[in-house]
Amino acid sequence: MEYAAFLVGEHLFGIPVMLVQEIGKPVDVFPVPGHDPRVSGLVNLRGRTAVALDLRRSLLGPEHGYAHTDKRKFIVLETTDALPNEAREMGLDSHREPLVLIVDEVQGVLDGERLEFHPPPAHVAERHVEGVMKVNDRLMTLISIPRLVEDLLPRKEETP
Amino acid sequence: MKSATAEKRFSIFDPAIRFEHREFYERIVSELNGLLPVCNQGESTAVEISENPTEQEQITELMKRVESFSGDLLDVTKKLFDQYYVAKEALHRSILTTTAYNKINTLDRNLLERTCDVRWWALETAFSACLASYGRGLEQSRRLVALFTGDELPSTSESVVDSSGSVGADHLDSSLAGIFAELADFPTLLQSGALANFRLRFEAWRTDRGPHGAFRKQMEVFSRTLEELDGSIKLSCDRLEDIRHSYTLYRDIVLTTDDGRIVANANPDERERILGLSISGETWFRKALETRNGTEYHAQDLGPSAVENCLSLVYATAVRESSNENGRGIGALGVFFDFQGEAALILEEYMPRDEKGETVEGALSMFTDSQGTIIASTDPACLQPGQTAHLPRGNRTLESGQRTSQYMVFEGLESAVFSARTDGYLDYSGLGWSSHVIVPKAHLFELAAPADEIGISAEELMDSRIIPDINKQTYLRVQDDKESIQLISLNGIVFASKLGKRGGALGPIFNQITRTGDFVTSRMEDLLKEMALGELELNLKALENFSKQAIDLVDRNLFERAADIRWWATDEYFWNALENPTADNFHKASERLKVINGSYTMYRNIVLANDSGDIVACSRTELRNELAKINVSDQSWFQMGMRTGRSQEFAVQDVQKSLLEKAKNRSLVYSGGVRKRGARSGESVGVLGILFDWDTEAGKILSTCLPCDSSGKTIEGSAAFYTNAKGEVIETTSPDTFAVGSKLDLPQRALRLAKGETTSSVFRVGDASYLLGSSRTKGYREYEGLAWCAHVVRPIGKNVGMN
Repeated sequence: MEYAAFLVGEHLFGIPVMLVQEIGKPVDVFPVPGHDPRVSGLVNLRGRTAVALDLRRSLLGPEHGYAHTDKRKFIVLETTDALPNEAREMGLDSHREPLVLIVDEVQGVLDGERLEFHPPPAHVAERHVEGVMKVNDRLMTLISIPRLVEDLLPRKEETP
Repeated sequence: MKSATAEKRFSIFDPAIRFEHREFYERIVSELNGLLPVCNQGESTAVEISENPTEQEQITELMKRVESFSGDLLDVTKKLFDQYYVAKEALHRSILTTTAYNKINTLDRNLLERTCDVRWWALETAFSACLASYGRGLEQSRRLVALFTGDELPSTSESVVDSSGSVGADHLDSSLAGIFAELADFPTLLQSGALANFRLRFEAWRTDRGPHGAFRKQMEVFSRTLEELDGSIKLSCDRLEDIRHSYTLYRDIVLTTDDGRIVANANPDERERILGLSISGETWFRKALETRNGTEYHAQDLGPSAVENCLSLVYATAVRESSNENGRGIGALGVFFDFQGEAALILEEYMPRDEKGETVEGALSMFTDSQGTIIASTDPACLQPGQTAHLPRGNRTLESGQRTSQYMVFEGLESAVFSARTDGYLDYSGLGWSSHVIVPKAHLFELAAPADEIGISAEELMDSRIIPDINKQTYLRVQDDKESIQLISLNGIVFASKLGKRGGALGPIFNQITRTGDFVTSRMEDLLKEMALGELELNLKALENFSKQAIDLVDRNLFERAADIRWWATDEYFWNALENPTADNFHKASERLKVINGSYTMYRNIVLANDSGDIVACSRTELRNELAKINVSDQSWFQMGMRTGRSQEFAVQDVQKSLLEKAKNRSLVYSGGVRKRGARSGESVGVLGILFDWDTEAGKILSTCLPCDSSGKTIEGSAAFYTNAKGEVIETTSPDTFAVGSKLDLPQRALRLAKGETTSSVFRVGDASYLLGSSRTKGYREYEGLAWCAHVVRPIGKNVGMN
């Protein structure tokens, strides 16, 4: 499996490239009052509205707010319906609604078959960490999008 | 600049575009053109590997975006070259027209001092006394000749017959006839040695066989007049020599009678040839006699004069009866300025130099007069003085103070000629001269030297206020395009990955796009950085020039002070007062100082101290009582002044607190020893000290040496200051940032300057960063300077609003 690798703060993270629809330059984010601070707000993607997740706050902690970087990128995820068959066959899932991950820098696409995989270390409590991969002398944390989303976005159908 | 920068003015085919840049451009064009087949290949591959129309469309869209970006990049590249060359051209124009202007301005600043000199010296009593004495001699000689030839007295033969009657008539006649023949042409006695010779024969005849009675009495009077004339000519020559020794920029100074005979001169080497010479036909002489009072003078543009065997620049005014400013003109004083020497000094300055320090081949500089005739040049072989300068019309017909530049072919080289016409300086309106600097076009567009050692990165530079907005916009645009291409490739790779094995065929295509995109944009960034370094280089050059101008102007000003002190220290009022210390003499000395200070307003006070260091006279007479209580024997200006052994020497006490000025923190004192009877050498009997109005004068100079933007406005946050040998600020335009008395942590290259050297660096102090131009004093003529430096800074400043 191939991974889209990106930086949040100084940490390297990865998600399956199958889940990525497009990587783009930052666009305006419209904050919506009442949101979890880990959610930046709404963005307009060629007419479709998407929820933008602030990965700095989500992955590093609430105290890590916006930091200026001219390499900031938006990773637009495929919706569950639009996932290619290969992805489904691999058991991958995304989210039903359009989602955008705000990351500090995109590093590229890495071939996971050439990398060493480790399950999540015992001391890591977060559910969204699926495991760790060794990339040269660095470690890439693999993120599970569905679990991350579950933590962040309350399911609409559950609210009466 | 206006819209000039917006218009494309340098096409890539312009001959000014450097070979390296054209090659670079062609490389970019071919790289970008190479993307088109890659995109076509991408589109057909899409059809091969996928039957899904959405997937095909996505690939086609990516390819279209690549094509459109490559077209944009090509456009940006063209604009970039245009901006690069336009910016270089504009900066060079600004620097070199300023250089041209500074040259003529430096000359006119100098000449203003000359107009003051001639008017001041013409009031010297020795000169009016000498001319008065000549007038008496002339009149008496006429009367005697009339007596001798019998026009007035009936019994000529009787009166002149020797009392003894023993002398033969023929002998008497021949010796008398000789004497009176000479007397009939009295002005010829002014020739070198002629008067002394004549007096010998006249006295011999008078004592041996002089006449009796009334005639004898007249002879005695005449004899005394001749003696007095002889003495006063010697004194005038001495005083003129004193002046020339003090003010070394004159080749000669001549005193003439009202009928145009040279009575005395300053240059002993020329004395034999020119004393007694008639220059009554020369314009400067006639114009000098036409001046109405002591405030008027005549400046005679370069032309031939019998006084010298090269072209002369003469400042002249009348010498008036009894040295009274409003008296009748009884003769003329003409000062012959060393124009050729001075022009050579000025023309050599500020010329573009290669790494070896030689003037760049094809770089020339010259002055032309109001008719466009060359009057001085750095290369007389191709810019021959006396010839009309072959210049574009725009550079020949300048308005007062106008600056311009034009391209032309000069001596076979594509060159730019930068010209400026004088607008005079203060009261001196100048003679309508212009200054021209010719620089080969190839030099203007030379590649910038790497500025690593300057200590500023290209990135910091691009982010600073030094770089014009238009270049920054291009920089941002290129970065943006670079990012876009990277994103296209990244998305292509994401896309290919998602296709799994099918996507493998797209891999090389996106890799190629990534490579080309990276190559093109990084080369463009290089070019932009080179451009920024070019701008930096020229900005540093401009600051270097300003610092050099600041130190040169102060050196030239202080040279004049050194000249003033040497000359005044020989003034009769002062040695007389010190040798005969009476209240009356001290009063007279004070009055004299007051008159001097009235004409020379750059002094705050002038003081005379006796050999034990008591102040006995001063120009600010209201301070006399206060200063009388002061003893200056422990002050270095006094001690050094006492130690001067010759009138050609002077001493200076560097800027520091002085007893003489309680209210001032900084005083600059020049001093010279006063010698018995104003002798040129010997022990000092006291010291004359002049307190230069340092802060005012230095502040005035500094304020003219600040960098300006293209609209002529001083750049915000820029500053100029002088430092002394210890590195302390001694005067500043910016008391808050670079305070007087503070010691700045200047960069090593600015601190290690050798005499006459100029450098530039990045100066960081606290949070602020500056570009710094520095020059160490080179001195001017025999004035060595005080090892001071001038520094001019402009803030690098983060650009506001671009981030």
